[in-house]
Amino acid sequence: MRTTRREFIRNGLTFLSFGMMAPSSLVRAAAELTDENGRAKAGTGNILVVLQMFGGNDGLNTLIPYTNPLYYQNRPTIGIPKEQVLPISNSVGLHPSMSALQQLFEKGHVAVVQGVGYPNPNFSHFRSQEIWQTADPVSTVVREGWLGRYFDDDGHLRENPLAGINIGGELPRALYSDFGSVVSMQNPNAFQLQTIAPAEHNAEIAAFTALYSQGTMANSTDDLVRKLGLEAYTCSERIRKALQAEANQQDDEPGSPTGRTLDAPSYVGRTGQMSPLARNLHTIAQLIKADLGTKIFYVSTGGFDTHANQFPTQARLLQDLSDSLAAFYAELEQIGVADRVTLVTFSEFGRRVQENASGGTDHGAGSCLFVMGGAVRGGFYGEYPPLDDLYLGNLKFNVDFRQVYATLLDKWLGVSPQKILNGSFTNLPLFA
Amino acid sequence: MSAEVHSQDYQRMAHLLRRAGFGADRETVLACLQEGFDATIHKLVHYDEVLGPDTFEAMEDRQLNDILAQNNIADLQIWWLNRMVQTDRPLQEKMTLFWHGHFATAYSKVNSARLMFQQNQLFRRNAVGNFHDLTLAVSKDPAMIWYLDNNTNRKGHPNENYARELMELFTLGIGHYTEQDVRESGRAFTGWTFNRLTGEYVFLPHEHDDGIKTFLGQTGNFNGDDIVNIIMQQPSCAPFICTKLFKFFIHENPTPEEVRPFAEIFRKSNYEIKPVLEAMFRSPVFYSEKAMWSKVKSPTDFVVSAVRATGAQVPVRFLPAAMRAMNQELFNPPSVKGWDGGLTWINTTTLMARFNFAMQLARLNEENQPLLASLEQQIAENRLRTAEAIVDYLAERVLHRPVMEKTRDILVNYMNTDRTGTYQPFTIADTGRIPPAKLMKVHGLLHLILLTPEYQLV
Repeated sequence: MRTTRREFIRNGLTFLSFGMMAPSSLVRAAAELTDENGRAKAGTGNILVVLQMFGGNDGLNTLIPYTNPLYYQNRPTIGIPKEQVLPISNSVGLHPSMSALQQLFEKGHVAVVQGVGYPNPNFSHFRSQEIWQTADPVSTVVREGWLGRYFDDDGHLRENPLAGINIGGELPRALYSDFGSVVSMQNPNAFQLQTIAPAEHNAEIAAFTALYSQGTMANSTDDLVRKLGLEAYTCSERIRKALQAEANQQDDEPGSPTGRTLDAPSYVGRTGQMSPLARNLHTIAQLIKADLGTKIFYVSTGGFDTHANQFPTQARLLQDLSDSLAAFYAELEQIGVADRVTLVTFSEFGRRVQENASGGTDHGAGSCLFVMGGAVRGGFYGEYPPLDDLYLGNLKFNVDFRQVYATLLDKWLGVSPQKILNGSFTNLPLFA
Repeated sequence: MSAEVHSQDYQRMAHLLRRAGFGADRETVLACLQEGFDATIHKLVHYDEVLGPDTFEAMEDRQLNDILAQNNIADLQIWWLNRMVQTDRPLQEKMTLFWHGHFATAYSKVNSARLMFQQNQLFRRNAVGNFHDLTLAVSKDPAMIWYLDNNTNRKGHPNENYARELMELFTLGIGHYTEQDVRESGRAFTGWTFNRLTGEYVFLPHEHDDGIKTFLGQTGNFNGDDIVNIIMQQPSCAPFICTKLFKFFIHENPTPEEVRPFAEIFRKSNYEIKPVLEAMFRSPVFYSEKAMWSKVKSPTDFVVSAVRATGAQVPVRFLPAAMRAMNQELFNPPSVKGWDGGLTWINTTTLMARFNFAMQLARLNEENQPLLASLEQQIAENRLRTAEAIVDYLAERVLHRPVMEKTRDILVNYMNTDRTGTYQPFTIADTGRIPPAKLMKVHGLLHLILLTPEYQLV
């Protein structure tokens, strides 16, 4: 039974028994949740993938109001020419790099949420990221993230140390919780306990497990270290075994996820290589397939702070985004989980309507985001912000980002959003 | 394990040297015990008087210039780690680290290794100086000005970011000032900016709002100096800082009563840091059971103490990545709140990072690891004949604490197990040489010691 770090220390003595069981109670708990391949047992439910776009993506050039003359007046050099825009309605279209996402939209799997933001928009990267991650536009000392609070709220999640997985170096604030039930890794293959030499591997692992299984009569900080250390090892083993089972299965079955049929989109872009984003999404698909009971996956991609030379930069970034998302969706379909996975993108802010003198744009607000998945009701949500009614030169929001969070918490993850978001926010009809 | 290591005095001295520095080997602890606690504490705190001027500066100039010219933050991180490993005044480095976490400023926004270095030197020079002076100097530090946007804080176009964090995070804490105080003090700091080319603080009088301000109950045409002065008059300032120092040096859960005596010393001395540290290192609570081995080592502590204990010549290229994976990047705290520290240092991911860094360290050849080389020599001179003796030798030198019986058994068992998992006593031939095949076991032993739960604590 997991507890917060503080509770653990306060109740330290009650955990002496933890050490007396060998293997540890954690290993046993993991065994209850998983089969012999480390996979979660059936019925693990819906999965949310959060994709953070660092830097402040320019929504105006992503979802383009190509019939609005004000758009072209404000962006004489970086405005996308009408004939290049990929229309998805009579008034808006996608950036020309995003044909893959356009196709997905036409199949009804992509919701475009327009004019997303919050009151008194902040234009500092790290402060605005913090706001989106903690779901608190006001307080500056909130430690836990909104997803962290989701974990804390759910007793079942507390039992599974792999309830959340972040693909990346640093744990994002959004996932931070007092229970710490999230694993962060650059790639699952690197999240392994490395030993000094192959010949010593088994002996070292045996010694490590023994060191971390014994309870102590010492203080509770000691016990917490042991608990988490053993958890790190058992998590890495679950991942390794599950992915190993995948690899073995693929050897038997023709057509691996990356060697798909000619029609399906591929992760490998025009460069002939997987971009970091593509690779990370593919990793997530593999981990979903491995069925570890993970509810939340988190991944980031950067470079969107286009103060200068926006035209080629954004084209490249949006191409990567669109292609990677489409390939991810295709892989989910192939695995047979497209209905169980929803992906949401976000960026800490949008950008100024009027272009600047360097062929770019400055920090702004009121950008759009995408929600993608087999269960998503594709289409438009919110209103396209008017270009003639601005706030400090920026688009005004009409959908509070916490509405998106509330919808995902309530309708997708099946939990009550009020306590997690510290307030009530109207849902969007994103799910059928 | 030598008998004296179990003695209370030995443990206390080792504890002092761990907390006020980065740990010390048996010889050093014994030498300090000879000099006595008073003299040792005096030497630790009054390092400038006892040891004279720092000779480090003279040595590092050329290398540093390259690092700063290339804006290479990874190399600057390595420079600082190296400094911590080699310093003869470890409390100075520990306090530099403390101030860095307190007056948090991040390279990710500042983007200038030169400015971050300048700020680091400011902390180093004032490490155990005067907090009032330090706070004023930080208000004029270009990296801080840039980080909290005070360069855009101008008359008529205020930016309150610095004024707010100054009170909320750096001096008083929430609840001891109002929003109005934030706004008014923001006005007082207008015009406090810096020159991008020279990296020096600059005051722009035409940008400065020289109107009357009302701040914390006082009224006048205040500028930033006055704001800091008034802040220092507030009763909440001393307890606020002393609570942080208590958590950093003693234990994570002080009561206000426990902090009070230190806060009084701090206030009465007009915010001199040395008297507070001396009082802490002499206090019974510092040596209490609640304090000893109760803290989790910060990643910096972990890395530096491991390098110091083994004398390892670590290929520096993997240090920045390792520390990032452990969630502490020097010069790059996650936010203006610095690092939460304490139990937040450990989670499944950061522990895995520690385990794997330990492996990289343990895998280094003997020639890059004086500790392992010394072990080999001990063995060659026939002074260590059994697995038990080898385990005791290495464990003592790394852990600096008596090893639990169970831990010792597990490590000895490891030494006496071959690659098939069969019992195979770790024998040393009459020549005293360890066969190469078995030498790997010794590296494995070092790895295991560094990844014990015991080693994660301080």
